[in-house]
Amino acid sequence: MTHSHDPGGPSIPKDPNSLTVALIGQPNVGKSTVFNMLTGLSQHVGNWPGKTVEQKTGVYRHNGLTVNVVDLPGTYSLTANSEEERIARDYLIRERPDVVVAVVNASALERNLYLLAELLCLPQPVVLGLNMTDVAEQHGVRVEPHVLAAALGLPVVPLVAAKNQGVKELMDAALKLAANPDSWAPNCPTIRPEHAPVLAAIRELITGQPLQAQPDADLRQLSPALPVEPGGTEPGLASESAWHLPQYPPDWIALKLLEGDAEITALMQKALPEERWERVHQLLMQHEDAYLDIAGGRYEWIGRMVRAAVTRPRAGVISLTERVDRLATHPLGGLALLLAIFGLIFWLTYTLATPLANWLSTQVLAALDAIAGITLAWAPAWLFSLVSDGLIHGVGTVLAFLPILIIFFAMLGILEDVGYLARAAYVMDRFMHLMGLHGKSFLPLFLGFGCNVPAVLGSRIIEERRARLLTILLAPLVPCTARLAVVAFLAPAFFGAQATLVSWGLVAVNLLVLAAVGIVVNRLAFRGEHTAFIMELPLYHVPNGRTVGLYVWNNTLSFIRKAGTLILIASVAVWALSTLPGRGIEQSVLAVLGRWLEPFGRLMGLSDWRMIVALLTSFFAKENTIATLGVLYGTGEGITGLAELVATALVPAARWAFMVVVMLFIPCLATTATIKQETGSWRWTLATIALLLGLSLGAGIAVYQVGRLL
Amino acid sequence: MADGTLLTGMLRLLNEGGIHSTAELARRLGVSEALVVAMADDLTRRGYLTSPEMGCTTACDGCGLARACAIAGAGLLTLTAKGRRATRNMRHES
Repeated sequence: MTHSHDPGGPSIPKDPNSLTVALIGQPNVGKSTVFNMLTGLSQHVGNWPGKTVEQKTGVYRHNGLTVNVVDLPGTYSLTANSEEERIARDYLIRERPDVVVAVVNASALERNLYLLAELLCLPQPVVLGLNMTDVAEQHGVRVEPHVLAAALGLPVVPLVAAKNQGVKELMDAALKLAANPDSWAPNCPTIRPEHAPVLAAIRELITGQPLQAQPDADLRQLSPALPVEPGGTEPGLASESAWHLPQYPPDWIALKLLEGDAEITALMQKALPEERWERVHQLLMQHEDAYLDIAGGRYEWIGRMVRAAVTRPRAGVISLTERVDRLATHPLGGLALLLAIFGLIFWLTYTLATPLANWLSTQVLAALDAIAGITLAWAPAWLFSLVSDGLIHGVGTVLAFLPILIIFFAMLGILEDVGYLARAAYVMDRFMHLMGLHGKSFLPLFLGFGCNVPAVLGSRIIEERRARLLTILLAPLVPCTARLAVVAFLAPAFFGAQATLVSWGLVAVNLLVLAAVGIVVNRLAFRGEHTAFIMELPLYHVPNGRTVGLYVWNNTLSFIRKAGTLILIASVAVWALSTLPGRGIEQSVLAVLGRWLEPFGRLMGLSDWRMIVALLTSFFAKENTIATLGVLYGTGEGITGLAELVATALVPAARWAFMVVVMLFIPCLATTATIKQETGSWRWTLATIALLLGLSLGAGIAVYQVGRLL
Repeated sequence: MADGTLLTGMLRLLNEGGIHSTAELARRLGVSEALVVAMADDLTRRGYLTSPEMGCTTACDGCGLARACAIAGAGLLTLTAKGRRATRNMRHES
């Protein structure tokens, strides 16, 4: 009944009361559980000959019949991508078990049936063990075993191997099939007809014999697996050819060659005479992507099987995701939703966080000022000034800003954990696509919303240097959270009740500028080249408090670290320059520098030198704008008081201009350093700064000059 | 799917450029999303698709949207040079 195929010799008949059943399946489908249930204690564990992969064999006895069960290593396909896959396929082809039991995960049939599609290309009869049917039910996947069996043309047995349900029935089906091999008539996947002549030609070349009875090479007649008589040797193998072929069915070899299987290709190159191989190789080169058709045909077959036998009642979270995504991923509706969410974030920030930040800055900063006054009563005036004006009103003002950032991060964290941020990326790309901009530059730019540094680093995904450099150039145009924080600080005082609308508008305008420049970059750098991404959007789910909390904590900590280093140093420097040479702030070094730039600032309506200095210090970190204003304008009534003090220094058109410049200004120190690191060029780094300086100041001047006329 | 198979059909859709969600590809190909994910995995193993390396491991420390990187990176695949060549060949053939 069973035949052992020693590669070196003829087949040796075995005991008629003995059968061999091979268990095969992808990793983690419960194949070993089935093996353990069948063999119990009669197992032998060793290694596959010459391999380090574990080999498990065992015996199952049934009605006087000895069934040798072989647990093959987990494998995704019969393409030799790994040692495990090579062992599994070599065993099936060379040892030819009487029956193959393919175990699949019922909740992931689409992924699991590919292996079955390949198994059906081999002559061994197959029984399908539909395991984890309980898990499938929990996931809302209902598989009808009888329908699947009819569609596949082979026995299908539902299982819950972990509970020993259906395992005996599975073996009964396998033994029944082994006893009636003539009943084996599976519904095999077919290959596209245009590949049939190629397969026939390759087969002819590797066997040295023309394929008989295939004049029209209709693929439905051309079985991928050469029919093999039980106990016989395959026609066209080594004994009959002029050269020694590996011991595989020739049609299967031809198919694997066409699929581009590396191991079979190497074997055949070695086995065939050079001239023959050259001809095979030429054919393969002409059909380099035949794999797409062959595997594509198998996936169509899988699709048909699944459509026939699997139902997925749309309920619960899947249904919710589908309904929400109808709007959230719609090219226009999704964009409107995204903008509405941005607006909501600003509104919530202003409503919830600004009063809290005000309380912190009035109560806590005043208390700190008082403590400094008492503890530094003995100290010289300059030391008190450093602590009060430099540290408390510089770094302190920025730290008082924490509630705003915490609320902002919390909302981003919730959006991310709910699963919305992936949709935001998707819908933004659709929007850019509508405008004709689509390319690899989008993803790094999207990351820029958090911080421009990863946006610059993310541009590494773009292979072409010119395109990469231009994307790096665009990255600082993305409004990062630090810049949005400055907007959140100034907007309520500058624009009153319209703060939410203006902040939202600033982000929208920023994105339009980005898209406009991006379109130019796309035309220049990518020359219309299409870059595509596939994104698996996660299911929506209720946000996890701990995840969101950790997100907020990590980002807040990172902000505090920045406040304790870069912002602290910059605040002290601003204080020192605004104090020296000791004749008051209006006579200070900083005032001289600021006044020197004042004529230029007036073009944007920034007639107060302190505003120009605040802009310049944002180079160290964007939040420094706030710290500098805190140092230079001194105390106000809380954050809003300080912002109102700043607002009085500017006419409405100048306020707009200042905000636009803040949004488009030169990159911060960390981003600049990263640009230098990634481009390896000072010239390019300086060119980026110069371009953004020109763009921001130009936009600021335009906004102010137009605003004056309105 | 007038011509070609599911895999070539999927590559044709990718040839339009831009981001495609697995749900959208499934709808347009007339198959389940699980099958699209399985095909995408297969194309990745075969070298037609790859997961883009965003290279933001160190920079993420100071990034407000650090985990967005993980979101973008985790389920994201893009065409390789081999994938682009295959889509170009299909364009020439059609």
